[in-house]
Amino acid sequence: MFVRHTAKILYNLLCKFLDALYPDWRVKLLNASSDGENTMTGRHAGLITCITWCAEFNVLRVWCVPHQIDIIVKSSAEGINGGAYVKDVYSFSIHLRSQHNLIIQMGVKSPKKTNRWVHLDRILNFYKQYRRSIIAHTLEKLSSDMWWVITYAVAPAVDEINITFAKLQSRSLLVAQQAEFINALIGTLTTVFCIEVIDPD
Amino acid sequence: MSIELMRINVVGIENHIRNQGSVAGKFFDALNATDQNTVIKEIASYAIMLVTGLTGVMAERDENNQPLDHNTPPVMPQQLVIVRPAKFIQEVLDKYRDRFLKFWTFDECEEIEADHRNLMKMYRNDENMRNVIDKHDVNTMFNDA
Repeated sequence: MFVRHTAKILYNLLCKFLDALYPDWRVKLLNASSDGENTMTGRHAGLITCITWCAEFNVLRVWCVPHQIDIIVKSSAEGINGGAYVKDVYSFSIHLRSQHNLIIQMGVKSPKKTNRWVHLDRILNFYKQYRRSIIAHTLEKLSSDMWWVITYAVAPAVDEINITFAKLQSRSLLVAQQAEFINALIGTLTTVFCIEVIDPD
Repeated sequence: MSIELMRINVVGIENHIRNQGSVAGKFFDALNATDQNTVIKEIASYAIMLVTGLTGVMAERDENNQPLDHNTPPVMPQQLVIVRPAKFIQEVLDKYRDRFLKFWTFDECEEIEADHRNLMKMYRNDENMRNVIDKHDVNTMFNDA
């Protein structure tokens, strides 16, 4: 595709492709899944909305669960210290990637920032693993005690989330099974952080 | 601290920090009392925000991309054996009957009902079958089941 990714262009392209692949697709369509992006889910002219209109029977709309969790994980982390913590995590990583003496001494480079949901876990574990070298090199100027406490407290939760991410990406997993994994993750996090759920009654 | 319907014990968060090892404990002890309270509050807020957000995660959405208010139909053997035939017909087959009839005959549709009754009968009477189905859990894949 070398044109703009508007819902209309995507819809026309998809219809053309599916018509060539299997002309009866409008009758057999059961489900349409998306990443939840506005072009996909827009209620008036989103791609999924257009597809459900042209389908003969009801179509189950699915918003990819890992994409939903990704939004929650990122927004929760960005809530720590009003966003300053996550900003420091990434700017610290950029700083460390330019410290050639430190890289030679540790024999490893700080992970590069990406938009992948597993990234925060990799970078926090990197900080934990190479804490001594990092603190010695930066002379404790760039990372406060409070920053390290938060890093140690958040890392196990992000670890658990990444394990669930890996399970949720199994190709043959059912939607109902996904719900079980999410519930298991909530149970684990509730235990890890000693959260008590209050009965509204 | 308590937000909406969840409550976190301050001691619980401090224990969580110390559970991460003596290094984490040393960093925590190096903070003054005000900073310790601040960091516990930040971690507690993070935990509650995370759990609250995850509680609202649902794959099935309605036309406004809001969570769908009903569950998807049961499809796994361990789910089907606990659904009464009348409920199976009403809540699963009838909903999709028009769609089935586009490609299948009436007889083939009735076979689905018969298959479900046979599955329940075998689950009740065949111990081996019951043992196999009872072992199915959230990790059992559809094709394996």
